[in-house]
Amino acid sequence: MNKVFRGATIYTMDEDNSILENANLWVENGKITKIDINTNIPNDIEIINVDGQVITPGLIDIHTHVGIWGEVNEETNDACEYSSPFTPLMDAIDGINHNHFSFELARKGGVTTVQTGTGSANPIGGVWSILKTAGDTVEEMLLMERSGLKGALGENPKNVFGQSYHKSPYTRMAVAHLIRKGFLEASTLSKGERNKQLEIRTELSPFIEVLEGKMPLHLHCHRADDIATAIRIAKEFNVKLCLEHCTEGHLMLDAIKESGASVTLGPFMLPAAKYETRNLTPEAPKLFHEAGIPFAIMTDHPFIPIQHLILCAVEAVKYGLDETTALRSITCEAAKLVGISDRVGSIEQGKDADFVIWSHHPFMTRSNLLTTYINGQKVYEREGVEV
Amino acid sequence: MKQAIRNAKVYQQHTGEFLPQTILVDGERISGILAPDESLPECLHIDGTNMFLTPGLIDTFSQIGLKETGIRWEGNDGYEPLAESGSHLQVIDGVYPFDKAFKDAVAFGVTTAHIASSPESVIGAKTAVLHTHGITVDEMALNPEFGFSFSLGDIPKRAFFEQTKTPLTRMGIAQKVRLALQVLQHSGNHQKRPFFFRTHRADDIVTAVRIAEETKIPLVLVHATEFRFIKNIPYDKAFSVIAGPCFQPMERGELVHLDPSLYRTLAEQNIPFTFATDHPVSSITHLQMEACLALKAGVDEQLILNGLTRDAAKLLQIDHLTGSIEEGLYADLVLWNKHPLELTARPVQTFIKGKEVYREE
Repeated sequence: MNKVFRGATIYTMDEDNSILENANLWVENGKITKIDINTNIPNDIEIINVDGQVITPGLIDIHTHVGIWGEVNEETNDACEYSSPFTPLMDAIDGINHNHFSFELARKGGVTTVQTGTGSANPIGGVWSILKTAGDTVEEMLLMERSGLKGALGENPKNVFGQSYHKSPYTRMAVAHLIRKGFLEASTLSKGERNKQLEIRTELSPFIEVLEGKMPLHLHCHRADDIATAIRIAKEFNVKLCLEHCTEGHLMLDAIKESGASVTLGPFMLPAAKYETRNLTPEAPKLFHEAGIPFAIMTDHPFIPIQHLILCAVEAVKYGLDETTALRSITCEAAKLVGISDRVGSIEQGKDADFVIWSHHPFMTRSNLLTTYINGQKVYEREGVEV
Repeated sequence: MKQAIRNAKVYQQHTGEFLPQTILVDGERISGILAPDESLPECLHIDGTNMFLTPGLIDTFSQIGLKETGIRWEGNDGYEPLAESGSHLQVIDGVYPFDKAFKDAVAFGVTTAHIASSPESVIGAKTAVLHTHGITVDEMALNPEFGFSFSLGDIPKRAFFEQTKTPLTRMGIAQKVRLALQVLQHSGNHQKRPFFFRTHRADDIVTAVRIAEETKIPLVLVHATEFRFIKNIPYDKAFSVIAGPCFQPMERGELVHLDPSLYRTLAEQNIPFTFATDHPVSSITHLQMEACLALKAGVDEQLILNGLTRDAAKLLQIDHLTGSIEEGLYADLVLWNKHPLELTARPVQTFIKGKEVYREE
């Protein structure tokens, strides 16, 4: 099905951040086929008039617990396997309820792609996945099934296991040891032994995947020393690291830049509820940008509900970040950091037709999201709107 | 000390416009309002050209200072678990004026907050209305003992179970509230004090209305998350709503239907409402963002700006002291760099009782 969305201002979020006025967006078979201005549109093509409206790429949040946290009660919460602090075999796709209302909230907020999975109670929690936010099964929604091994440093593992369950880890040292343990054991194996482990999917297999560069290590870290520990471990085993939250990262920008780690910032919009987050600041995105470190902005849904991702970017602007970088941090930059920018994150020929139509620029108070499209299909429409 | 804030675009609560004016301040109070071209008395001049001036914003339901930023139980004085009824307690005894959140409050234009117990307490402590700047709560207090707060629904149910290992139902909560109201009415202790009911689910809202009708108390609904599900509220007495916060973590079943369209529903039904952060549930810094969400949802700008200021002061019975830019009231004022309902607007300067309590770096 060939369609043209005619007359919008398009924020393409391509390499040059091109903004096209009064432009046409051509969509066919779920892909973007063309973006142009003032061309004649043949009669047999469906025209959707979006004159004066604003189109951005579908938003991307690369740190969420969409579809797995439950948000209602313990019965529906499958985010943290509390039975052990070391659970590398927990795969996000086995915990995600594809029918959960948080996917609907995501579409309502213009979020078309999320990375989601296990929480931060376990030093080694499990393997995350990247999904589109619409589809009839998890398999249909998957963009990347194994997008990284998730672990956590700092207060959360200490609190859950040490303080609440009275078992190891009680200290940061034991937390680091649990993370290191998997890599130490995996790194001593021969190629043949590694393949055997991968084949029968032992607890070492996710560590082997990380060691072989097939997926990164995502480490939850707030305090500066936890960030430094994450960098230290990644360096010891020469693995690709994503620093998740990175709350005190603004106090150690040089070290982070030198490490080459990916950075996902947030949630920075609520008061610090624990000691390790007391230096939280919404100025962090601006400071990272000034230091030349690329980053994505996250909601950590449900801690900031996923539909408010756009407000997180606005908050960064309020604290001094430029609007373009803010929008990049929830579209193309987020896509790049997790390796999906060949598919999503910008409005360019050949990319998936994931985009959002807004009444005004999305950072304006009066702006309302009108419709959300995934793979060229309308997946959300604001009440009372007909596009 | 005499000061003049010159040529700012000053909010007009009767028309909703911003007009260039000069505001004179003498000591703690506003002493005059001049047209921009009128000659000024000799005093300290603050240039407000190209800026917007509003009354200080009022957070009408908050736990600021009661639940301290950045630590857990050590700084949490919002809930006294073993108290059968909290109405003999006063929040003013639990507020820490050096909580970082008070600095955030003035940096985001909030000059007054109504402070209430955490939602875990079915019967909360006596609430207080405070300025957001000071060394002691006593000097901050606009009203140290204001109203009574009650809490219905999931949170008190769970908190009670965790404390006592015995269940508490919604019926049991309603009975506790009725009993507490009887005691208060007998003691004559409730005269002229408003009653605030934390409610999210539609059935809890209706229960609050039912209890208020039975006991003839003036009702203020707090949160009112599922208000849009109730077609006709069976209560003819005037009541008001402290709505939201609509921006908050979504971790409980009661919040599944939380949406800023709440503000539009209330406006359409002509029910008076004000804004709240319930800090630290949302952040005191987001009171203005709640107002932006209301504007996004289609509520009239004047209704919103009055809800943040004058109407909030009326609800808290401090409109003779603050909430408007009028001669004789406290000079609780905020100078904004942009129209205050722009999402990226920030205060340039904030004043409480004529004293500068925040200045942009």
